[in-house]
Amino acid sequence: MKTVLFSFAALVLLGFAPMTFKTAQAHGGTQPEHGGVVQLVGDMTFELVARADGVELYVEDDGEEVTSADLAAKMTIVNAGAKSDVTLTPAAGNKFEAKGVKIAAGAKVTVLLTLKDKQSKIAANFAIK
Amino acid sequence: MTRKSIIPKFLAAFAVTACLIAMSAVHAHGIWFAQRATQLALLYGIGADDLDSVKRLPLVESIAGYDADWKPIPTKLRVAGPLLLVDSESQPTVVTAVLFNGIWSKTPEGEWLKKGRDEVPNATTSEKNYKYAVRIVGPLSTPIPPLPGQTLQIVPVDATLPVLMGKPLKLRVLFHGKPVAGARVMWDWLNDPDGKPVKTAANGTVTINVRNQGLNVITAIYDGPSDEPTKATKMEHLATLSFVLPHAPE
Repeated sequence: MKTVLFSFAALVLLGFAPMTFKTAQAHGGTQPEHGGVVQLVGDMTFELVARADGVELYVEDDGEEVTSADLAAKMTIVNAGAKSDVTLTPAAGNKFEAKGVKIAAGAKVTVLLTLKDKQSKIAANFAIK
Repeated sequence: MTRKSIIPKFLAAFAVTACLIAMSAVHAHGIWFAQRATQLALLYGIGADDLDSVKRLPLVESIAGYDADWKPIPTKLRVAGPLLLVDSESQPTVVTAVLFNGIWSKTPEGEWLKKGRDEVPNATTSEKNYKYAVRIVGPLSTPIPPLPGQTLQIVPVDATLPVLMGKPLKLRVLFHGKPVAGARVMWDWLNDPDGKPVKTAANGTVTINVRNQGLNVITAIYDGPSDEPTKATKMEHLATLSFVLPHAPE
């Protein structure tokens, strides 16, 4: 009976182990929620959405939405050798936007996010297809 | 004591002495860049010894950032607790630093003093120490050129780094911007600081296998002529090249 109980406990532990491992590995979502391109950098998830009338950026920290008003964001767009810097404006919730900015296919975009302490920065690189 | 018992003891003593000489030649401290709490930090030390970099801030002669076209990006160091963090106005492709570690002399008793040979007349060696660091942050568009202030510099020969650890990486070591032979290259300054250095060939190249699927800090050491012979018999230049091979997607 003891052996059966021990085996059962071991099976339960083994069953939980992969779940724990998965939780420890995942920091944030990797699937786009707004139809954009997602980059995961450490704990931070960046989703860049290129629309016909502008660019949107959504930010999450460890899977939680971060209030964009507490942060600052700018992006550098490199397209066919031409480089431009754009400041993104905080919008509602975890959204930043840059109205009227277009990103062409083939462009490389680097988003630089300045965190709440106004000093720490995290960058994400995107290749737009 | 028999002759037989003396020989092994002599050999052991010889081996230990040779080992210590070899170790002193490569056991200089260096500077390198690494990520700390998501931010890029300038570190000082050797192996797992990540020493006090903040107190060495006055020794830092330069810090610089460059974009993919090798144009400078305004970059500075800021003290954040026990760390020196890199602060750039935009995301750099490469960051560099230079630290002058002063002139050191070794006494016949084996003690290192932070003085020139003019103050330590019986010094067995006196050296002027410069530390250089280059960090590849973003993807390279072109091979890294000789960068300002990097008297000794390690550059990957190609712009593309391997994706996986264990793959070969051809490097070139530059001294004053020119390939240099005989620089001692170590493939993993952090995890194998006692490893055997590999010397660069006549064209300044050496090929190593990338050690880590993560942070790699490669080191080159080269002894150049002294520019202050009254104080130092040589100048020891120690350069690091650091980069990260990303882990698999989570």
